[in-house]
Parts: sequence; C-alpha cells; structure tokens
Amino acid sequence: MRLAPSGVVAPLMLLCALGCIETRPREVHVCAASSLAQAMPELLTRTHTGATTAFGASGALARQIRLGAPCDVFISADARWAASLAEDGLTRGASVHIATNVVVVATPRDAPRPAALSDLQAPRYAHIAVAAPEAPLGEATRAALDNAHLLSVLKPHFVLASDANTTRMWLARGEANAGFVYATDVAQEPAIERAFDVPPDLYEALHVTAVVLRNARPEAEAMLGVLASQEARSVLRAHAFQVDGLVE
Amino acid sequence: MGWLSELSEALLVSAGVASTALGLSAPFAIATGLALARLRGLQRAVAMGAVLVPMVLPPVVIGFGLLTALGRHGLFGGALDALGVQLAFSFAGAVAAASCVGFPLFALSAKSAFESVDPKLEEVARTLGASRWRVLRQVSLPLAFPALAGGATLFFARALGEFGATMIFAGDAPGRTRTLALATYAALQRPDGDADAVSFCVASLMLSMLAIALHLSLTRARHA
Repeated sequence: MRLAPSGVVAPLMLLCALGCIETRPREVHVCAASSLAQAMPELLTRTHTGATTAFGASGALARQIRLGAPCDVFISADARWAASLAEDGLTRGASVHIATNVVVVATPRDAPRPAALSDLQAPRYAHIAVAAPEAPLGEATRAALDNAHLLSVLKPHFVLASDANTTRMWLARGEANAGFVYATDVAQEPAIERAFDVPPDLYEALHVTAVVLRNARPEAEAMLGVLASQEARSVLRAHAFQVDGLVE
Repeated sequence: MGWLSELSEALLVSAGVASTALGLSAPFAIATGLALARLRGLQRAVAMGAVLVPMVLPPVVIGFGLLTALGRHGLFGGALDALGVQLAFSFAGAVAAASCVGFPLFALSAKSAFESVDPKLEEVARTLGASRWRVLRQVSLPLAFPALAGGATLFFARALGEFGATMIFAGDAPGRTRTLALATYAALQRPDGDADAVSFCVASLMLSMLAIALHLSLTRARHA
C-alpha cells in the first residue's frame, strides 16, 4: 500500500511533462471545419502564409476553444458556431464570411442520377443518405426537403448518418442510392458524383465563417485578410466552395 | 422534442440493443469459452487470437469491417439481400456492432469460468456414469455460473458503450439505432446542446454504474 501514492504520482508527473512538450506553435494556429481540410494547405501555399492547422467538426472545435484550446483563428462550417463563441465574448472583432458551402444531391459513381428533388421519390432511390439534423448539413437538408414538401414522403427512405463524413462514405461505398452532401464532399471523393445542387432558396445558406479568438496573437487579424483575399477565393472556388458576391 | 423524451428514447434503444445482443450472443460466447478452456497448443493460440481481435481493433475499424462484409454492397450483402435481410442502417445492425465488441469479454470470462471448475468434480461425475452432456449441464455449468453471469454483465456494459462501430454500420436513426452514446454525440453538434449532452452523460454514468454493480455482485458470489 505504501507504493500506491508513487504509483499515482509518477504517471501524473509524466503526463505533465508531456504537456510541456506540447507548447503553443510559433505560427498562427487555425482551427477549421473538416470541409476545409483539402483546400487549406493549398490556400496557405498559394498565399505564402505560414500557419499551422487543425481540422474537425465545427461543434467539436468550438467546444475545445471554449475550454481553452490554443487557437488563433476559428473557421466554422456555418455561421452559428462562430456566433456562439462571439456571444460568449470569446472572439475579437467581427467575423468574416469567407465562402459558402452548397448542399447537393449526389449518387455513387455510374449510378442513375436524379435531376430534381422530386425524382428521389422513384423506387430506385430506396436508400437516401442524410446527415443527422444536429449537423449543419442535416439541418439544411431537412429544411430544403420540408420547403419542397417532400420531407414526409422521403423520410421512410432515409439512412441517417451522424455527420457529413459518414454520409459521404456511405454514398461512396454504394450503400445508399443517393444522398445529400456538401459540394466540397463531391470534389473530394472520386467515388461519388454530383446529380444537382439543392435549390439555394430552399434552405438557409451555409456560410463558412472565420473569426479571430480573444486571446489570439496579433498576427491573427492578417490571417483573416488572407482568407478573404482574391487568391484564397480562387483556391476555395476550385474546391467547390461558392465565393461569388462576397464583400471585398 | 424535449430532452426527456429524447433521453428515454435513447435509453430504450441502448438497453434494447445491448440486451438483444446479449441474448443472441450468450450461447455462442459460452460455447466459445468452453472450447477455449478445453483446447490446447496451436489450436488454442489460434482460437484465442481470433476471439481477441475485436477487443483490440478500434471500433471504427469493426464498423467498417461490418459494412464491408454485411453492407448492401458488401461481400455477403447479396446473400443477405436474397434472404430479405438488411443489417446495415437498422436495429439489427446496431445489435451486430454491439455483439462484436462485447463478445471477446464474455467469451474470455466464460473461458476462465470453465477453467476454474475443479476437474475432479467433473471426473467424479463421469465415473458415476454421467454422459459428457450431463456433466456439462449438471456440474460444469452450475459451478461456472457466477463467473458466466459476470461475463454477461461485462458484455452488456461494453455493448451499452458502443459508439464507433454503430455509427459507421448502423447509423444514427432516432428510435432505432440512436443509442445514448450517439444521442450524446448528436447533442454536441448543436450550439445549444450542452445541457442535453450533460443529461445524457449523467444517464450513461448511472447506467454504467448499475452494470458494474451488477457485475460485482454476481462475481462476488464466486469468491464468497
């Protein structure tokens, strides 16, 4: 029993030592939604910007930031997570809408493609992959179908994934005949094809929003400028984000 | 939908998935434990390895494996389809995922349970003319029972906590496959979901403590 305290203390000390190794990076640290995972490295290279990045679900990142994760700039998949941090006084200055992600109907490659939402009622679309309503993608999908008066008709055919990545994976593997994903997902995944864009007037636009966090280093504001630059926009456009009509 | 009805729905799914998985897996887990206790040499090593694999694999990998094997376009998807069975995206899929992760715990407990039965007692029964089946039924199984029940509660507890494999293979359908773990994950994706997530976490904690208490009370009988 006398050994017990040291048995507890030694691992704890080791853990603390590990924590010291993990110091704050010297460059601006950007925490961004997973949908930006492909575009960000290219964006940083093209704009000659030094920054370290971490990607994840917007909700998970926002929660980590709230609990003190070292992060200078946060890029959320939709405006509400950036807004929730701003409401709690965790941000500095105004947030910037850097791009819009579009919801599309996609199918596995070489599968029959619907041309409009109403086509999804056909028996061949027995399994329609849809993200859970709590995820931004799932919320937009439901709103669009509800406004098109198709939600109750199609609901029995939904296969519900907990997030956008799982939705895309099911489509890519042919487990679903069609599904609602981000345009950026189609650009990332060669095994799926875009059938058509969900009409944008049917759901609230998903504004990819960047914001500087309260305790960020001074260089963080410049990063926001980079994200809103013409060069950044051309990279984002190439990765299937919509950047037309954004303010300079 | 209020958090209370969401919570009770998720609780029902969790309990339903875990108990169905336990009911279906129990005979196989006990038989596997018995075989592991009786096998020797290379056969035992190979069998142990096969049983242990799901315990060391990340659950996400198990989910992906299940999808690859049993999904609609999986290796056996066609055969299942012909039988009119669809496991992916269904309650049955969640049961399959929970069974995979819980099975090694139950089978290993069953192995130790049968190994702890005094072989002399089994030999005595045999010399008195009992058949192998009767020895198993009337001597080995009753003596191993407390430890077997302990294994069952471990299986149940692990099945309750399943997340990764369920998410990939069974999806997140409220009332069918959205277990307490998936409901918690869903709540964390909403900016206003913190309070719900906390209530789901408290429910998970209480359920886990209940399972552990059950496990301890069942296994204590053995040492008494």
